[in-house]
Amino acid sequence: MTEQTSNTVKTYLARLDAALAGVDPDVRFEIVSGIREELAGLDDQAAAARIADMDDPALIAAEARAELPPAPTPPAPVAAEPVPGRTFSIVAVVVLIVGAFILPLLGPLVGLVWVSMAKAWTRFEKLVAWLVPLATIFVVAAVLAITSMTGQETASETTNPLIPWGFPFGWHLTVLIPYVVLPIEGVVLAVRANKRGWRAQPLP
Amino acid sequence: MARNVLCMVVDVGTQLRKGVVEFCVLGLLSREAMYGWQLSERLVSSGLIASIGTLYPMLARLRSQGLVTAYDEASASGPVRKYYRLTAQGEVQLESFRLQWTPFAATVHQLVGKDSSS
Repeated sequence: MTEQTSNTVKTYLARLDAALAGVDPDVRFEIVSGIREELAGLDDQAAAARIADMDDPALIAAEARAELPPAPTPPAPVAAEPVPGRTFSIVAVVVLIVGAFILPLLGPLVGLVWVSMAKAWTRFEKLVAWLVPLATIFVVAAVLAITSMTGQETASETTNPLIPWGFPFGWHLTVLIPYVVLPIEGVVLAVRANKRGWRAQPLP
Repeated sequence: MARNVLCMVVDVGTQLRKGVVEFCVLGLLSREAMYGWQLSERLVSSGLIASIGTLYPMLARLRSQGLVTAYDEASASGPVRKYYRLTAQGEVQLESFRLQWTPFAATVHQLVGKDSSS
Protein backbone atom coordinates (compact mmCIF):
# COMPACT_ATOMS: atom_id res chain seq x y z
CA MET A 1 0.00 0.00 0.00
CA THR A 2 1.57 3.28 -1.02
CA GLU A 3 1.80 6.20 1.36
CA GLN A 4 -0.67 8.15 -0.76
CA THR A 5 -3.32 5.37 -0.67
CA SER A 6 -2.65 4.74 2.96
CA ASN A 7 -3.32 8.37 3.65
CA THR A 8 -6.50 8.17 1.59
CA VAL A 9 -7.75 5.25 3.67
CA LYS A 10 -6.76 6.94 6.90
CA THR A 11 -8.43 10.17 5.86
CA TYR A 12 -11.62 8.38 4.89
CA LEU A 13 -11.72 6.43 8.15
CA ALA A 14 -11.00 9.58 10.12
CA ARG A 15 -13.80 11.42 8.33
CA LEU A 16 -16.12 8.50 8.97
CA ASP A 17 -15.20 8.32 12.63
CA ALA A 18 -15.71 12.06 13.04
CA ALA A 19 -19.06 11.93 11.25
CA LEU A 20 -20.16 9.19 13.64
CA ALA A 21 -19.56 11.36 16.68
CA GLY A 22 -22.45 10.97 19.07
CA VAL A 23 -23.50 7.60 17.66
CA ASP A 24 -23.56 4.71 20.12
CA PRO A 25 -19.84 3.94 20.74
CA ASP A 26 -20.19 0.22 20.02
CA VAL A 27 -21.99 0.82 16.74
CA ARG A 28 -19.49 3.53 15.82
CA PHE A 29 -16.63 1.13 16.43
CA GLU A 30 -18.34 -1.64 14.47
CA ILE A 31 -18.94 0.56 11.44
CA VAL A 32 -15.40 1.90 11.31
CA SER A 33 -13.95 -1.56 11.93
CA GLY A 34 -16.13 -3.13 9.26
CA ILE A 35 -15.04 -0.62 6.64
CA ARG A 36 -11.42 -0.81 7.78
CA GLU A 37 -11.56 -4.59 7.29
CA GLU A 38 -12.89 -4.11 3.82
CA LEU A 39 -10.16 -1.64 2.85
CA ALA A 40 -7.32 -3.47 4.58
CA GLY A 41 -7.45 -6.45 2.27
CA LEU A 42 -7.16 -4.47 -0.93
CA ASP A 43 -4.17 -3.28 -2.87
CA ASP A 44 -3.55 0.43 -3.37
CA GLN A 45 -5.59 0.92 -6.49
CA ALA A 46 -8.47 -1.25 -5.33
CA ALA A 47 -8.63 0.55 -1.98
CA ALA A 48 -8.75 3.94 -3.68
CA ALA A 49 -11.42 2.70 -6.09
CA ARG A 50 -13.44 1.21 -3.25
CA ILE A 51 -13.31 4.43 -1.30
CA ALA A 52 -14.50 6.30 -4.38
CA ASP A 53 -17.50 3.94 -4.53
CA MET A 54 -18.27 4.15 -0.85
CA ASP A 55 -20.96 6.30 0.56
CA ASP A 56 -20.10 9.64 1.99
CA PRO A 57 -19.26 9.34 5.71
CA ALA A 58 -21.94 11.91 6.50
CA LEU A 59 -24.56 9.73 4.77
CA ILE A 60 -23.40 6.61 6.61
CA ALA A 61 -23.52 8.47 9.91
CA ALA A 62 -26.97 9.87 9.14
CA GLU A 63 -28.24 6.37 8.33
CA ALA A 64 -26.78 5.01 11.56
CA ARG A 65 -28.39 7.78 13.58
CA ALA A 66 -31.74 7.19 11.88
CA GLU A 67 -31.58 3.50 12.71
CA LEU A 68 -30.64 3.91 16.34
CA PRO A 69 -33.25 4.84 18.91
CA PRO A 70 -32.95 8.43 20.09
CA ALA A 71 -30.68 8.87 23.06
CA PRO A 72 -32.67 9.25 26.25
CA THR A 73 -32.92 12.87 27.22
CA PRO A 74 -31.64 13.57 30.68
CA PRO A 75 -34.43 14.19 33.14
CA ALA A 76 -35.17 17.83 33.69
CA PRO A 77 -33.79 19.09 36.96
CA VAL A 78 -36.43 18.93 39.61
CA ALA A 79 -37.47 22.46 40.42
CA ALA A 80 -37.87 23.33 44.04
CA GLU A 81 -41.52 22.43 44.24
CA PRO A 82 -43.42 24.48 46.77
CA VAL A 83 -44.74 22.38 49.61
CA PRO A 84 -48.53 22.28 49.31
CA GLY A 85 -50.21 23.90 52.30
CA ARG A 86 -47.10 23.91 54.49
CA THR A 87 -48.20 26.98 56.44
CA PHE A 88 -51.65 25.56 57.03
CA SER A 89 -50.16 22.28 58.27
CA ILE A 90 -47.91 24.12 60.72
CA VAL A 91 -50.77 26.26 61.99
CA ALA A 92 -52.94 23.15 62.38
CA VAL A 93 -50.37 21.30 64.48
CA VAL A 94 -49.66 24.38 66.59
CA VAL A 95 -53.39 24.74 67.29
CA LEU A 96 -53.47 21.06 68.24
CA ILE A 97 -50.58 21.55 70.69
CA VAL A 98 -51.72 24.75 72.39
CA GLY A 99 -55.42 24.76 71.53
CA ALA A 100 -56.49 23.26 74.84
CA PHE A 101 -54.69 26.01 76.77
CA ILE A 102 -56.29 28.80 74.74
CA LEU A 103 -59.78 27.48 74.25
CA PRO A 104 -60.60 24.30 76.16
CA LEU A 105 -62.43 21.59 74.17
CA LEU A 106 -62.96 23.76 71.10
CA GLY A 107 -59.22 24.53 70.63
CA PRO A 108 -58.02 20.92 70.37
CA LEU A 109 -61.08 20.03 68.30
CA VAL A 110 -60.21 22.73 65.76
CA GLY A 111 -56.60 21.51 65.82
CA LEU A 112 -57.67 17.94 65.04
CA VAL A 113 -60.00 19.07 62.24
CA TRP A 114 -57.28 21.21 60.68
CA VAL A 115 -54.72 18.40 60.96
CA SER A 116 -57.22 16.18 59.15
CA MET A 117 -57.51 18.78 56.38
CA ALA A 118 -53.75 19.40 56.09
CA LYS A 119 -51.60 17.74 53.43
CA ALA A 120 -48.65 17.01 55.69
CA TRP A 121 -49.95 13.75 57.08
CA THR A 122 -51.18 10.47 55.71
CA ARG A 123 -54.73 9.28 56.16
CA PHE A 124 -53.49 6.74 58.69
CA GLU A 125 -51.74 9.39 60.76
CA LYS A 126 -54.88 11.51 60.76
CA LEU A 127 -56.95 8.55 61.90
CA VAL A 128 -54.49 7.83 64.70
CA ALA A 129 -54.55 11.51 65.67
CA TRP A 130 -58.29 11.22 66.32
CA LEU A 131 -58.16 7.80 67.98
CA VAL A 132 -55.30 8.43 70.44
CA PRO A 133 -57.08 11.01 72.64
CA LEU A 134 -60.37 9.11 72.46
CA ALA A 135 -58.67 5.84 73.32
CA THR A 136 -56.76 7.48 76.16
CA ILE A 137 -59.96 8.88 77.62
CA PHE A 138 -61.60 5.47 77.31
CA VAL A 139 -58.71 3.63 78.93
CA VAL A 140 -58.37 6.11 81.80
CA ALA A 141 -62.11 6.07 82.37
CA ALA A 142 -62.15 2.28 82.39
CA VAL A 143 -59.25 2.08 84.83
CA LEU A 144 -60.86 4.63 87.12
CA ALA A 145 -64.20 2.85 86.98
CA ILE A 146 -62.60 -0.43 87.95
CA THR A 147 -60.55 1.07 90.73
CA SER A 148 -63.54 3.01 92.04
CA MET A 149 -65.59 -0.17 92.26
CA THR A 150 -62.75 -1.83 94.08
CA GLY A 151 -62.45 1.23 96.29
CA GLN A 152 -66.13 1.27 97.16
CA GLU A 153 -65.89 -2.26 98.49
CA THR A 154 -63.31 -1.15 101.04
CA ALA A 155 -64.35 2.50 101.39
CA SER A 156 -66.11 1.89 104.65
CA GLU A 157 -62.91 0.69 106.26
CA THR A 158 -60.02 2.53 104.65
CA THR A 159 -58.96 4.40 101.58
CA ASN A 160 -57.33 2.35 98.82
CA PRO A 161 -53.58 2.95 99.16
CA LEU A 162 -53.09 2.59 95.43
CA ILE A 163 -55.36 5.59 94.79
CA PRO A 164 -54.37 8.04 97.42
CA TRP A 165 -56.29 10.87 95.80
CA GLY A 166 -59.54 8.97 95.83
CA PHE A 167 -62.21 8.46 93.22
CA PRO A 168 -63.55 12.01 92.69
CA PHE A 169 -60.08 13.39 91.94
CA GLY A 170 -59.44 10.50 89.53
CA TRP A 171 -62.17 11.61 87.18
CA HIS A 172 -60.43 14.94 86.83
CA LEU A 173 -57.66 13.09 85.02
CA THR A 174 -59.92 12.71 81.98
CA VAL A 175 -60.21 16.47 81.87
CA LEU A 176 -56.43 16.78 81.94
CA ILE A 177 -56.00 14.52 78.93
CA PRO A 178 -56.40 17.30 76.33
CA TYR A 179 -53.66 19.23 78.15
CA VAL A 180 -51.23 16.30 78.10
CA VAL A 181 -52.06 13.86 75.31
CA LEU A 182 -52.88 16.32 72.54
CA PRO A 183 -49.73 18.45 72.91
CA ILE A 184 -47.60 15.27 72.86
CA GLU A 185 -49.53 14.03 69.83
CA GLY A 186 -49.06 17.39 68.14
CA VAL A 187 -45.31 17.36 68.75
CA VAL A 188 -45.04 13.83 67.32
CA LEU A 189 -47.04 14.84 64.24
CA ALA A 190 -44.90 17.96 63.78
CA VAL A 191 -41.66 15.98 64.02
CA ARG A 192 -42.88 13.36 61.54
CA ALA A 193 -44.10 15.98 59.06
CA ASN A 194 -40.92 18.01 59.38
CA LYS A 195 -38.79 14.95 58.57
CA ARG A 196 -40.75 14.53 55.32
CA GLY A 197 -40.62 18.20 54.38
CA TRP A 198 -44.24 18.71 55.42
CA ARG A 199 -45.52 16.29 52.80
CA ALA A 200 -47.66 13.22 53.42
CA GLN A 201 -45.17 11.22 51.34
CA PRO A 202 -41.45 12.08 51.19
CA LEU A 203 -40.06 13.18 47.82
CA PRO A 204 -38.30 10.34 45.93
CA MET B 1 -50.11 17.45 -4.48
CA ALA B 2 -48.10 15.11 -6.67
CA ARG B 3 -45.14 15.59 -4.36
CA ASN B 4 -47.25 14.63 -1.34
CA VAL B 5 -48.48 11.52 -3.09
CA LEU B 6 -44.89 10.60 -3.98
CA CYS B 7 -43.83 11.07 -0.37
CA MET B 8 -46.59 8.73 0.78
CA VAL B 9 -45.44 6.12 -1.74
CA VAL B 10 -41.87 6.46 -0.51
CA ASP B 11 -43.02 6.15 3.09
CA VAL B 12 -44.86 2.93 2.28
CA GLY B 13 -41.66 1.45 0.86
CA THR B 14 -39.64 2.59 3.85
CA GLN B 15 -42.11 1.15 6.31
CA LEU B 16 -42.27 -2.14 4.46
CA ARG B 17 -38.49 -2.41 4.38
CA LYS B 18 -38.21 -1.58 8.06
CA GLY B 19 -40.71 -4.30 8.85
CA VAL B 20 -38.85 -7.09 7.10
CA VAL B 21 -35.19 -6.12 6.79
CA GLU B 22 -34.15 -7.70 10.09
CA PHE B 23 -35.71 -10.97 9.04
CA CYS B 24 -33.94 -10.71 5.70
CA VAL B 25 -30.67 -10.43 7.61
CA LEU B 26 -31.63 -13.51 9.61
CA GLY B 27 -32.49 -15.27 6.35
CA LEU B 28 -29.13 -14.43 4.78
CA LEU B 29 -27.24 -15.52 7.88
CA SER B 30 -29.16 -18.77 8.05
CA ARG B 31 -27.55 -19.78 4.77
CA GLU B 32 -24.00 -18.85 5.70
CA ALA B 33 -22.01 -16.73 8.12
CA MET B 34 -21.27 -13.35 6.57
CA TYR B 35 -19.10 -10.36 7.44
CA GLY B 36 -20.48 -6.86 7.73
CA TRP B 37 -19.45 -5.48 4.38
CA GLN B 38 -20.68 -8.61 2.62
CA LEU B 39 -24.07 -8.33 4.30
CA SER B 40 -24.24 -4.64 3.53
CA GLU B 41 -23.48 -5.11 -0.17
CA ARG B 42 -26.17 -7.75 -0.43
CA LEU B 43 -28.81 -5.70 1.32
CA VAL B 44 -27.95 -2.46 -0.49
CA SER B 45 -28.07 -4.18 -3.87
CA SER B 46 -31.48 -5.61 -2.92
CA GLY B 47 -32.71 -2.13 -2.03
CA LEU B 48 -33.37 -3.09 1.58
CA ILE B 49 -30.96 -0.64 3.21
CA ALA B 50 -29.44 2.61 1.99
CA SER B 51 -25.92 2.13 3.30
CA ILE B 52 -23.73 0.22 5.70
CA GLY B 53 -24.67 2.82 8.30
CA THR B 54 -28.07 1.16 8.59
CA LEU B 55 -26.66 -2.33 8.95
CA TYR B 56 -24.53 -2.09 12.06
CA PRO B 57 -27.18 -0.64 14.39
CA MET B 58 -29.42 -3.45 13.18
CA LEU B 59 -26.75 -6.08 13.82
CA ALA B 60 -26.18 -4.63 17.28
CA ARG B 61 -29.88 -4.95 17.96
CA LEU B 62 -30.02 -8.53 16.71
CA ARG B 63 -27.00 -9.42 18.82
CA SER B 64 -28.50 -7.86 21.93
CA GLN B 65 -31.64 -9.93 21.32
CA GLY B 66 -29.52 -13.07 21.10
CA LEU B 67 -30.58 -13.78 17.52
CA VAL B 68 -27.15 -13.26 15.97
CA THR B 69 -23.65 -13.81 17.25
CA ALA B 70 -20.27 -12.64 15.96
CA TYR B 71 -16.83 -14.19 15.77
CA ASP B 72 -13.51 -13.25 14.26
CA GLU B 73 -12.04 -15.31 11.47
CA ALA B 74 -8.95 -14.79 9.37
CA SER B 75 -9.58 -14.98 5.65
CA ALA B 76 -7.11 -16.70 3.34
CA SER B 77 -6.08 -13.57 1.50
CA GLY B 78 -7.40 -10.74 3.57
CA PRO B 79 -7.49 -9.51 7.14
CA VAL B 80 -9.24 -10.96 10.16
CA ARG B 81 -12.91 -10.23 9.68
CA LYS B 82 -15.82 -10.22 12.05
CA TYR B 83 -18.38 -12.73 10.86
CA TYR B 84 -21.99 -12.89 11.93
CA ARG B 85 -24.05 -16.05 12.16
CA LEU B 86 -27.47 -17.04 13.37
CA THR B 87 -28.00 -18.43 16.86
CA ALA B 88 -30.46 -21.18 17.69
CA GLN B 89 -32.81 -18.51 18.96
CA GLY B 90 -32.39 -16.67 15.69
CA GLU B 91 -33.32 -19.82 13.80
CA VAL B 92 -36.51 -20.13 15.83
CA GLN B 93 -37.33 -16.48 15.21
CA LEU B 94 -36.72 -16.84 11.49
CA GLU B 95 -38.85 -19.96 11.29
CA SER B 96 -41.64 -18.17 13.10
CA PHE B 97 -41.42 -15.34 10.56
CA ARG B 98 -41.45 -17.77 7.65
CA LEU B 99 -44.59 -19.44 8.96
CA GLN B 100 -46.38 -16.12 9.20
CA TRP B 101 -44.99 -14.36 6.16
CA THR B 102 -46.44 -16.56 3.43
CA PRO B 103 -50.07 -16.42 4.58
CA PHE B 104 -49.65 -12.76 5.49
CA ALA B 105 -48.31 -11.85 2.06
CA ALA B 106 -51.05 -13.92 0.42
CA THR B 107 -53.69 -12.12 2.44
CA VAL B 108 -52.30 -8.69 1.59
CA HIS B 109 -52.06 -9.64 -2.06
CA GLN B 110 -55.62 -10.87 -2.01
CA LEU B 111 -56.77 -7.57 -0.52
CA VAL B 112 -54.76 -5.12 -2.58
CA GLY B 113 -53.91 -7.06 -5.73
CA LYS B 114 -55.43 -5.72 -8.94
CA ASP B 115 -56.30 -9.19 -10.09
CA SER B 116 -58.11 -9.88 -6.85
CA SER B 117 -61.36 -11.67 -7.58
CA SER B 118 -62.79 -11.43 -4.09
